[in-house]
Amino acid sequence: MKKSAFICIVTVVVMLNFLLQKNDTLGYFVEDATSSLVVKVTWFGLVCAPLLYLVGTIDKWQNGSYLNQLFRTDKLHRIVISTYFINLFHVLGIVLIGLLINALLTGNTGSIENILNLVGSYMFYTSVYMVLELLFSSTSAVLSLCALLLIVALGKNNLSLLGSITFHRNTSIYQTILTLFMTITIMTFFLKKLNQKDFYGKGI
Amino acid sequence: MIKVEQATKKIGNNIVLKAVNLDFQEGKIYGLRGRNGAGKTMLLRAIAGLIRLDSGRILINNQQIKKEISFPKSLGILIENNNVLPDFTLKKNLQLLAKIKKIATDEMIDDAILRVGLNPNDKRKVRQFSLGMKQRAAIAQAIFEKPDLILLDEPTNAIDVEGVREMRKIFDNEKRRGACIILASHNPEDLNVLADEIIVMTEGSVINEKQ
Ligand SMILES: Nc1ncnc2c1ncn2[C@@H]1O[C@H](COP(=O)(O)OP(=O)(O)OP(=O)(O)O)[C@@H](O)[C@H]1O
Ligand SMILES: [Mg+2]
Repeated sequence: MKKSAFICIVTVVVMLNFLLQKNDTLGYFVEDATSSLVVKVTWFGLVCAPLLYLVGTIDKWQNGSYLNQLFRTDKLHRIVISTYFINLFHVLGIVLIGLLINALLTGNTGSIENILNLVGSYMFYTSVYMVLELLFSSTSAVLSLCALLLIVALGKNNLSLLGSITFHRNTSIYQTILTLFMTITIMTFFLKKLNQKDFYGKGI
Repeated sequence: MIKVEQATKKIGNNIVLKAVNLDFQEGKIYGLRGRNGAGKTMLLRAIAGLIRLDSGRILINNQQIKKEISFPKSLGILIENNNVLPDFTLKKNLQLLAKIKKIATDEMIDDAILRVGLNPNDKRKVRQFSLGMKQRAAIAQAIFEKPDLILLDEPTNAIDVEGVREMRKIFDNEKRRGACIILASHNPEDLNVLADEIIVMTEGSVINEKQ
């Protein structure tokens, strides 16, 4: 199930990136002030797709077999950190495989800065998704994430100050540090909420 | 070993635990009895650290759950239905869990699987187990690390008549080893044969605690 989801998402990412890219600019970084609504919505789809792979990764802790792992762990932060990095690994895997296939098809590799920016952006949004799924159900988490990214898509050009968070091409070092700082803050909040969460389990 | 003090839990407007006070000692089996919805499972969840109390506290060896510790340090539970990952063999499941605490050796894992009447070399995934076999697998999961505290929610469900007797023997052995066992059950025989003390719950309160 998860494997086929991975392949589907990579396919979508490759297609949308192919549609969006201009000359040697990757689809993620097309920043045309006059870009049409269609471009913005396509960009939204491109950015959103890899994060959809995370659906269920936090909800599953309600399941008995995961609860059995949870209560055995005396250091809750270890589980939080490992879950975060496993999730990030999958999301970035999708993005990077997408970029690799794109490079093979079109020869457009993007610059190192571009790729590092993408890594920063997805580090941030992975933590955002995880906290949303912890606080709400997976359905609400997906919807709120989409709403958030749609706002970013529509207001991208006006929000360039936010750097990596809006997938801006030219991100200065302080913006990257800000993104990193926010990611850590969100994950700390996640840990606190996880410790307070009630686990009723799922089943009959 | 365990002190439950004025434990109260509300879910919405429903008070599911009402100022529960209880004491549990090691080397004993406590039977939990009560109608459906009385709060037995909820009490077990609270002791396991799976839910947070609205007021009151639970101490395990003088450490407060959810404050000083997230979960009891040495715990085995059978509360949920899906206790093991369905796509692995039982042995693989226990090996994965064993990696977390690093207490259980491969011999301990095999021993637990044998004790619940299953085969450690079974190549079948847990998904392919029968209902009763899954329940036995869940019991193996709760006891294989020889924990000090074992919480069992209706452990003999779906287990055949001979099996129930075998499981009772396991619980009795665990108690003799020094574990504190809290067992919720609708089977009066389970409770009469096993329990040193029976706790009766109704609508979230403990009504009596008798020998
Ligand atoms: N996930 C949940 N969300 C909200 N309320 C719940 C949840 N699980 C249980 N409750 C409520 O908590 C109360 C106690 O339920 P609990 O599961 O502890 O009963 P029980 O004594 O274990 O019953 P049973 O014998 O049927 O297993 C009930 O009123 C129930 O409606
Ligand atoms: Mg119950």
